[in-house]
Amino acid sequence: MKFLFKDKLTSVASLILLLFVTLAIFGPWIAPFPKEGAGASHVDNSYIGPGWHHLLGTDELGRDLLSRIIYGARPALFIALAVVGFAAIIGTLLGLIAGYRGGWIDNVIMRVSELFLSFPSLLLSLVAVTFLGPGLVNALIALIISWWPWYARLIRVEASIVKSKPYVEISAAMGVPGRTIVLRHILRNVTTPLIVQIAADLGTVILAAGSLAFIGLGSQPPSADWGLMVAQGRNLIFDQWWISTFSGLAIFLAVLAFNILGDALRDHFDPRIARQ
Amino acid sequence: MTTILKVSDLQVDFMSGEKILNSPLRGINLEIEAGKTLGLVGETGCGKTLTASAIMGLLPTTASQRGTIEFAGHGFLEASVMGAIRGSEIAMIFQNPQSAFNPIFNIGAQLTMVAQRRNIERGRIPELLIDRLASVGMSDAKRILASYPHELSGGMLQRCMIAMALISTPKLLIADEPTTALDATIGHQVLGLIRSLQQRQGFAMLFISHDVSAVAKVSDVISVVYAGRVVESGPAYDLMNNPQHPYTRGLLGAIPSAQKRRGQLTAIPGSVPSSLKDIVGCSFAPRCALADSACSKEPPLVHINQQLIACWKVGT
Repeated sequence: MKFLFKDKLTSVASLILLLFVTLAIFGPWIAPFPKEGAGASHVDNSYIGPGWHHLLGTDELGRDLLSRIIYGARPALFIALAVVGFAAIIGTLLGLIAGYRGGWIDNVIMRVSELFLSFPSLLLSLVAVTFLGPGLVNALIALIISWWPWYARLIRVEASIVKSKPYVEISAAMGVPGRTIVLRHILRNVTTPLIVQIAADLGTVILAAGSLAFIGLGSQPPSADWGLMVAQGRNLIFDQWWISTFSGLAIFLAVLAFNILGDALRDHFDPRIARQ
Repeated sequence: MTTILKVSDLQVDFMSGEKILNSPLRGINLEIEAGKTLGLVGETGCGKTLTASAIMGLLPTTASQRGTIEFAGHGFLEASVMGAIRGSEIAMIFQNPQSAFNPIFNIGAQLTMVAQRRNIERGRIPELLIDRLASVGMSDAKRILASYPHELSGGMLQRCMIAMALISTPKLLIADEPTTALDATIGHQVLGLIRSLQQRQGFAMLFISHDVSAVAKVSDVISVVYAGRVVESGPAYDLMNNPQHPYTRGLLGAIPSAQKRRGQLTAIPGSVPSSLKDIVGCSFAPRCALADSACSKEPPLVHINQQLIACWKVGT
């Protein structure tokens, strides 16, 4: 795990990420106003600027913004992990089948994935959410729908490269059945690009989930969601600037940390393309 | 003697949809007796490896196969039968041992993967692998099992591959150019090893090589293939000492020898005809010094003394 602290930038990103993970797990015990973080309103306290009592100020319902942001870490990380996890599982499975079997099944899977890829992913998610109805779970499904083709294509290419290696042919000649070859040889060989892709995607998914929430199609009030909080503060940006600013900053830091770590992970696993 | 493998009129065409692209195998006939070795020689591109793939049932999906392959105890080989006996009753070793193993697993893991297919108790596998590695002359088996392919030499990897093929004592071993990628001395050792394993375990062997001298060392019967057909076949001794077909003579004339210091090796002019074109008449005629108008028809494979020969110019 040394590579997570190999230089200043990566170390800072690792620490930020560690902070967000801690907040996601222990949020209710860390937040200064846990009840407000969970959604309880104090309308008489609304729109207090940042200060000693409320470090980051309060929102239109008088809730402590710091507590709300801390509470927002959990859904943000959850959606990132869930979307990337499911997309990776579905994509890997289809990619392995397409790459190893080839033929018509490869054609079908790849043409379907191209169909999905031919729409901008946010637009595709929008369409899906419109059909499914807004909400966290539906946003999650929508994002998985637009994300799996990337994994399917990545894994298919890797699988078809590994498939033509002599040791796979020889395994077949030694009587090792196709299922075992795919699972042991090919899956093991595609693990590295898979991990790198997952790391790079986590940040992007947080951003995409935030975007869906911002336009009102993701998490619904009163849940604490960063994208939702940016949206709630956007009309007040000139007078009560702290609401959008700090919640936007949370998204920004999380995405930045994930991206820097994704780069570090890629450099670590694939030294050939490491930055000079 | 009992015949263990009989290949009759095996033809393979590569298809593009309904259209035949090329026909690299145009009628291969082979017969291997239990415990004996059949050597298959011929130039690159004559269809030696493709014959092995067809026997193993590992032809690419674009290939269409005709003719029959009969294996003792299992009748005609079809996909359903082959799935059960591939690797266990018919095993195969390949050229290029360096690329035969997955670089990210150690040798032990890869041998175990094969052993798990063979109804061997899990607990007995390590013991069995050590025994098999010892039988191919590697006494340091524990270290070999823990090694990754890049840590071993080509000769050691070839021994590992032989050990892998012989995990379950097969009835037939197909050796596809097993010494080609090795240097001469190691190649010689591996040949000796294969011979002694065969004497101990009694498997039959199909030995494929373009190296006539290697084939002569291990084979009981030799078949010479040219452009996807068997052109001459016979007991190794007769064929080596009394080659009949002009192509076989050419092949034997091209072997360098320590005795014949002076003089040039005779080369066969021209090259193997492309399987993309239709071959009319004797496929060797364009390169043959004896060819005349009779060779415009395809010669049948006929018995002449001990040998089977496909040539209009021999024995008449």
